[in-house]
Amino acid sequence: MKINWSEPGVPLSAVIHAALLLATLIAFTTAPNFEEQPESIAVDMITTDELTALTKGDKTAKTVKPDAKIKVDKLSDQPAPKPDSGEAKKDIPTPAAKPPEPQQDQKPEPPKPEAPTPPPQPVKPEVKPQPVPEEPKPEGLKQAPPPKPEPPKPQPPKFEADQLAKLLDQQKKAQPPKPAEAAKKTEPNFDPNALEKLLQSKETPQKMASTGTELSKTSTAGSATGTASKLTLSQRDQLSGLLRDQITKCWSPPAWVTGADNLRPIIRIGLREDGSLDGLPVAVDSSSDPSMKAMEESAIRAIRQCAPFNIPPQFKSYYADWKSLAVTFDMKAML
Amino acid sequence: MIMKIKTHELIAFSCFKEKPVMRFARFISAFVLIGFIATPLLPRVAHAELSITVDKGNFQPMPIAIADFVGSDPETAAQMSEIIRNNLKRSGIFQPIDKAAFIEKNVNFDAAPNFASWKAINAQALVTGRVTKDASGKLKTEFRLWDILAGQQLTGQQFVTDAALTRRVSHIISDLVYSRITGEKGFFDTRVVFVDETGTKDKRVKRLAIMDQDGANARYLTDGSELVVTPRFSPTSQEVAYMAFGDGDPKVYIMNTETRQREVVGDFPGMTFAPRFSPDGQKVVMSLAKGSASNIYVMDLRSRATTRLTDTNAIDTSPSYSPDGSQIVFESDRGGTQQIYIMSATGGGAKRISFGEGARYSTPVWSPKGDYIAFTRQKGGQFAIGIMKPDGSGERILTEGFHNEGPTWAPNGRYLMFFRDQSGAAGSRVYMVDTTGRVENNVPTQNYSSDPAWSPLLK
Repeated sequence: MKINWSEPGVPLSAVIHAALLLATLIAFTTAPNFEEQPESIAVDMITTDELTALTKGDKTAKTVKPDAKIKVDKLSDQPAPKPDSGEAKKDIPTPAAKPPEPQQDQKPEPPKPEAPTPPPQPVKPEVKPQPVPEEPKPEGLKQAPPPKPEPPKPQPPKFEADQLAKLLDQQKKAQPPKPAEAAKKTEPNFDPNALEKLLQSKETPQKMASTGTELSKTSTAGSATGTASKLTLSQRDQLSGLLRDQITKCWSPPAWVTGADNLRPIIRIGLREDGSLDGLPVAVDSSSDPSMKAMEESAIRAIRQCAPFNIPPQFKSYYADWKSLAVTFDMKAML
Repeated sequence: MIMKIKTHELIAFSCFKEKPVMRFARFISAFVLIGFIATPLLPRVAHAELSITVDKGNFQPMPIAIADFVGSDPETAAQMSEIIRNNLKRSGIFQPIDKAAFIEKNVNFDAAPNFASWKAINAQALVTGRVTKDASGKLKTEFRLWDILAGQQLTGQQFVTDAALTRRVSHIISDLVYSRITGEKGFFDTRVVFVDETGTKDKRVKRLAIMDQDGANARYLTDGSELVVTPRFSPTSQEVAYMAFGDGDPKVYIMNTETRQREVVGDFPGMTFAPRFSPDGQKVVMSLAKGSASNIYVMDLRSRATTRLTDTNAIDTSPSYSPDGSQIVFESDRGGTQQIYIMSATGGGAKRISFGEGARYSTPVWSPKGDYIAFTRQKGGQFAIGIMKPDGSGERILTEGFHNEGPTWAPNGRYLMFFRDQSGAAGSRVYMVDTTGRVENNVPTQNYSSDPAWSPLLK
């Protein structure tokens, strides 16, 4: 390919684009710095609009969720050890859905008629005799409505709710490959009654995940940076406001100091988890100027006077975020 | 062939398109460089510290405990403790704690106090002391200032003096405590010259007197045979300039408060008044009345040379130097009403700085720190004492009432004295106020008192 150097537009633009791409790539490699802020912003957004909707959704769901939730959670738990996170649960079910291949194999045997007719039940136990404990559970789940007629089946129906789930958990924990099987078993159960419950159960996690509170929790817990349990901006404001109010009450500003409007000492404090002082308060850039010294000493007196600080319980888990404070004292607004 | 083509291309490239190419190359490299440079500058959330800004406070006088001084002379020791306690309280910055509340009754001067017991009564500082007399009758006074919250000694000194100087040593200790805590110079070891007034309102006897700043230790400087007004302390010595109505025209005199020797300042035809020393104490600036006009003159005390600084048909008076001696603030009615003006110390054009609506300003006094000018303001039939910055901004009224007048600065520029008349037959009294207007104390005098003049720190 020849390049027409009298019109270098194409090659030059290519070069520029390449450079731009390179520059953006470089910029994005350090972009993770922004992650912390988006989290907090998300919290603020939710508080305004979504909270109301969320509460409503929860209320309606609660009536139906209880049964379904338990099952879904536990099912989802099997593949992923994280039972709490809504997202994790979702992710797990989706992989389970992927094994359609095995399902197809089974489906041919007990296709759709399974649900209406009890006969498929016996078939399944036969197919899965090896994992004895597992079989009864899935049966119970699926057969729940029909089992009553047969005496042997009544046992599994009881297992349905809690026992089934526990057993499933145990089995799944013991045998990792089993989850796929369990998933297969659950799918065939989609039939009549179970379908609704399953749908509901699936909806619930989605709703949970879409809720603001859940979102914020998962995002903080799941951040790749691993800076879990960080104060959000609003929490940060709240806590710093609480501390500021406490110090304000203790601070007797040295009104007599010369040029006080230009003196803004910063005092660094370490706090223990109970709010008491960890070490001595230290003035940053400690000065020998008498006026500045008087300001610093008044500030340190205020902090000593105030300690231990009252840290509300909801902030205890964020200790890492407030164990060290930088307190700026500014008299300008008072003069 | 390929190589040839490439070289050909390169040559063509370099020959024909070098400049635009280089321009683009620079642009690109600059862009990339900016990327490299800027990325580390991207905002990072500082998660190491929680930052708080405290911009409000709740001013409270510092609770301080002054333990009774110990020593061989309990009476003197107790007296000194009491003087210090009273001084610190009058500053408004300290709140001495009642002795009855003390848990540690007997403080061992040579050991650290029991901080916990002082903390228990909310003391933030503690003053301990010991007074002993040696064989020659000299008084040895030792004191320590403790920071209770930090659990450490802030300062400690000892003085050996004549036994008669108990009060001065107490004032000096007060100053050390005050300046260590506030970062400002002290003002307790000072004196005040004032006009002592006795007799009825119609027939007042006015005598020049001097006292410690706390009102104690007062004594007369003149005998009352002539009327004296507007005493002004030299900022560098124990001399006072004042105006006295003798046999002839009223004249400005200078008196040494130690020796009581006095002399007339200059020999002018006509009345001289409103004298004030220059910051170096070498000159006296004052007003000279001629006819209906008064102008400002300065006299060099060494050469006796006088210089006229203003030339108006108005009344220019109450001149006061800036602490660096470069400017003079004075009052003048040249604009129709009494207002405050500033001019160069060598005279020349003056600039008005007081603009209060419907207010007349008089007796401007430049703070020894230079940051404020104190004044008397008449407005709506009320007399106020206030301060403003030398550019006329930040006017702050410290006290206002029936009659307040004649502010004088403490040497640290943080307190003012003035005199106040209540309506009625009663005479005036001297008061002290701080520059925030928050702290105000009467200065106790035996008789009525007016025209206070605050001395520099004693030496």
